[in-house]
Amino acid sequence: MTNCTGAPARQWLEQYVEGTLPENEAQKFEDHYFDCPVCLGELQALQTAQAVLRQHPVTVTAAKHVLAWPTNWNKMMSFGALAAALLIGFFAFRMIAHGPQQTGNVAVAPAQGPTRQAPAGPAKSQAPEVAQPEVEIAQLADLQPPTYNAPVLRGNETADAAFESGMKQYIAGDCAGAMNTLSQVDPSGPDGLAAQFYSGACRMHTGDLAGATASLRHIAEAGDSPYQESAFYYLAQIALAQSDAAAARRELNHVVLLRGDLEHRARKQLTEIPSGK
Amino acid sequence: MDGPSSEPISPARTETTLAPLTENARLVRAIAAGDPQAEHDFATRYMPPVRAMLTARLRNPDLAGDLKQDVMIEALCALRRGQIQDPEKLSQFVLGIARNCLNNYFRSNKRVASVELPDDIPDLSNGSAREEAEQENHALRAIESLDQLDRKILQMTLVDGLKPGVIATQLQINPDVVRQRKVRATRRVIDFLKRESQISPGRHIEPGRAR
Repeated sequence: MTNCTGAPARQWLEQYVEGTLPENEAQKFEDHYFDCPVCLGELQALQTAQAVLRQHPVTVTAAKHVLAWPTNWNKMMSFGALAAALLIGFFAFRMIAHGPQQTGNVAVAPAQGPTRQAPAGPAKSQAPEVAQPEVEIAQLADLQPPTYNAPVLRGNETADAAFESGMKQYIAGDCAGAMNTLSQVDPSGPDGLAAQFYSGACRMHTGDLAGATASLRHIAEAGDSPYQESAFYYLAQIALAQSDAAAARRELNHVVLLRGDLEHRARKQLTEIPSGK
Repeated sequence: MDGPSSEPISPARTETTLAPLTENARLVRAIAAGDPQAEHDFATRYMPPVRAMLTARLRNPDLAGDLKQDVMIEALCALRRGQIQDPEKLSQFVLGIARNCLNNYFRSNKRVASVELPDDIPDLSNGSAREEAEQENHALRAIESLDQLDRKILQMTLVDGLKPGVIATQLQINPDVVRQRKVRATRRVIDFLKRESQISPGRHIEPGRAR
């Protein structure tokens, strides 16, 4: 019988499978998983994935062209020059064939208003002179706590009792209770980071933005973890709620850099934050 | 147990010194007494970790499968002869035999059978072909559910054995992004497989327990 929740696997598994784990740690891991069905299950899962990837390889080189920054600059420059020459030729031909464009000519004429007086600029600035309400940065903030999907655990596998209980309160919407219970989770244990993250999310939801910032900052700066991207995202939301556009942009840029699930939302928000702020 | 390592465990002695008998002690005693069911239980319990260990060390699943049989035969023969000193260290005993077999293989670059194959050894083949195919299907689905970039990173890590820095250079992305994505993709695949193996009536991913 084991009470292991998979922490050794989380610590050693990848390096062990890759063959880069130092020998003494590899032996410790072997000593452990020979008696631990949880960690053995994780090892077997990764080895099966490894075998499948070997049988069905992803074509890395083909996809690389999509992602890779062009390195053949001579070809790129030639192509660019040719495209520019064609464009210049096209517009020159139009100028010669039709003469200068007349105001209000053909279908491109604006529906109303003298064109000469209208300043050149995007269509938005030519809209009727109704004062556009400036986007309130704080309104962009998404302070809803993230959803939590309890993992499916097998027979003997159990999560930290305090964590489980805290997350039940979290799911039920009892943020105060969840914060209280999650504070009892061992921060160095396997559920420590998760507890701190959801506790931070609760603080954010209940309006304790300073407390939430402290918790989430710790997770964001702790390095690779399943919660790092979300921590940066919610730090950005807190910055938005505090109308700190610069900080929000900084945090959102971190999210974009991580290229994870929240990348799209972060990019969208970056375009929504008024540039002058 | 206090006895010398070469001294076999007699059933009577085990009974008097270990009361009540632990699962390991019962298993060891039953194998020494020639119980085929105990041998089957022993094989069921230790074949998965032995195979996982050999696969990780050899990076060759087929060779790992062959060597696993050698390890299990040697372990069973040793247990039949009552060569284990402390039944509570059964796992370390099997692991030690596996490491010896592995070292012998690395030294000679060929399988070295140190015991004669007995006639009455239990079935040491891997799970049925159907179960294995099912498991691989789950793994394939898990991998297909990943983002294309995550798949590439997993392949370059697990199959090609490349470090995040090298992968980052090849894919023209930040090494931190590679690390982050690798951690997340690995976790997703493992969670997916664990979930599927729980739903599936066939084979569970973690069979490391004697039935």
